[in-house]
Amino acid sequence: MRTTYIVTQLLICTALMSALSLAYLGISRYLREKQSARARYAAWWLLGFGFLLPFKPHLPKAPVVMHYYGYSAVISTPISSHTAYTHNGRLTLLLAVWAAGAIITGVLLIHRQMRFSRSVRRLRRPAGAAAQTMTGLLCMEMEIDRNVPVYVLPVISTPMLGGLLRPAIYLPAQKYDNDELRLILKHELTHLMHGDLWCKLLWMGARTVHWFNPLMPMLMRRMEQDCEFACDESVMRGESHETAAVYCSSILNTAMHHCAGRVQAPILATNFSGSRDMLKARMNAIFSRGGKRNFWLLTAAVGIVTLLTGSLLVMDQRRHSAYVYAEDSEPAVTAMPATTSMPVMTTMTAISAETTAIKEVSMPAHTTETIPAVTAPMPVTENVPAMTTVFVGADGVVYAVTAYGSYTETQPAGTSLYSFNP
Amino acid sequence: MELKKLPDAEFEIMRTIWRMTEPVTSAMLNAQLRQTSPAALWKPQTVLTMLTRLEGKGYLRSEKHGKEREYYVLVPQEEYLALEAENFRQRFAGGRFSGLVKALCDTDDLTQNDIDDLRRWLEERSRK
Repeated sequence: MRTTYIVTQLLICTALMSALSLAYLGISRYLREKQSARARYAAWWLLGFGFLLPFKPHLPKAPVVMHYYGYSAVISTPISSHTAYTHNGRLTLLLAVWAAGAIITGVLLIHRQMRFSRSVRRLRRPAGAAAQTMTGLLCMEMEIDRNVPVYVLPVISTPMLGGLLRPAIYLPAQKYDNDELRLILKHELTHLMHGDLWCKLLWMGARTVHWFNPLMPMLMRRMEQDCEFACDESVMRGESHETAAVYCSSILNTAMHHCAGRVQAPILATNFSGSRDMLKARMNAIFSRGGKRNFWLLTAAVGIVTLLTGSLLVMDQRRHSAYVYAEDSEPAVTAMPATTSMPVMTTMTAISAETTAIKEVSMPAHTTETIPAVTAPMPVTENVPAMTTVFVGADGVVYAVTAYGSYTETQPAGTSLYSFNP
Repeated sequence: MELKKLPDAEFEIMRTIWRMTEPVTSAMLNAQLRQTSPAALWKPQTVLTMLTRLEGKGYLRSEKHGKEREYYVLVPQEEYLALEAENFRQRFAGGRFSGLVKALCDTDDLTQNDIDDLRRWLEERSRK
């Protein structure tokens, strides 16, 4: 129905959220050494929601108001059904392209995920008793109130956590000594505790909605990096310098195997390595345990701005509803070609989703000839036009009568948005 | 004949058969399925259809002995799982979808030299 509304909200959302994400990336890069990874990662949840939900609540007063004259432009000169059609067509096409892209992206992601899960179910085998017992103990220690099975999956090169509803840990077919195994299991269980798979799902949803936004893959990667850093930070809490060394060497081992195997990580699984500089940064962070600030204020600011993106930039709602919804109707205005001296309106189609009732509007006294032109029935509320009728007055000027909840208003179309002057 | 990947139901049948001793009859298979996956509620007719389909795909062969048809495994479990694993590697090794879904680690640019380098760095860092 409200093609324009959906399209603009989507574009506004994508633009503002991208700007916010980039600004956040800049600030957190500046704070890198000082900010705790957990706090840095927390903002990605908020940003993910901000992207996923393009329709956010409007505040009563928006800082930036965009007046939409698109509709009047449609109906104003030259009056021809083509104008209305073209405008309508472009927006609808845009919306259709977006929807098609979103559906394709979504289906591909789901399909890939399903194939992945199916192969995993077939290829996995339960891990040895040592790993199972160790996981059980870690779960108790970390107060994870569920049974997390451990499997060996020979086709992967990096340990991972998989499964949103029934999470399980998957290990490559590789020997680990006990210290290393404990840290790997703790790492994956920390992912589980942090709900990182859900964050990934959230971003996959956001990516589906904003498939056309070229920044999304990069943002998602940054989110995943911060996710790993946050995980490391939690794993290392209360561990010794020696353990940090073991942990780092385990990450390097994994990276080496990963490098040799080159099995890409799947979409809904969190895993365990990174490229050269990233690895170095990661190991550095692991060694410099503690002593970092959260800067929760920054995270809160991200949340507030995310919420505000719904209202930061809105369409002028009151005017908006006074307009004839030309883009949603069939040819909203069917008229003689612009060459005729006086446009003769014949069709009266103007659609609004909330159509409730068509109110009678009495014509002004000086009307000699009334040509019902465009009727836009609207919900009857104060200050929101219930119905607009356009007619040609005796003086040859096109008038627009707008019925509000309790009164009607008549003005020459030249002063209003209905510029029908022949 | 080139092996086709099995859908879930057919895979479940094959998995059950792989665990049994040959030859397998549909009655034996039904009994086994009731035992191993009681929740799945396999109907004898469905099982029969699956067996026929698996025979058509070259996973099984059968011999008729009186009223009973006996099934023999043509593709051992290891062979099939190797196929699945190969498939998995191809699919998730940065192939077709890598542009669309790329996960955390771009180890594509990571070389053995980098790793040796990082290892030296780590040794130094650990001593501090």
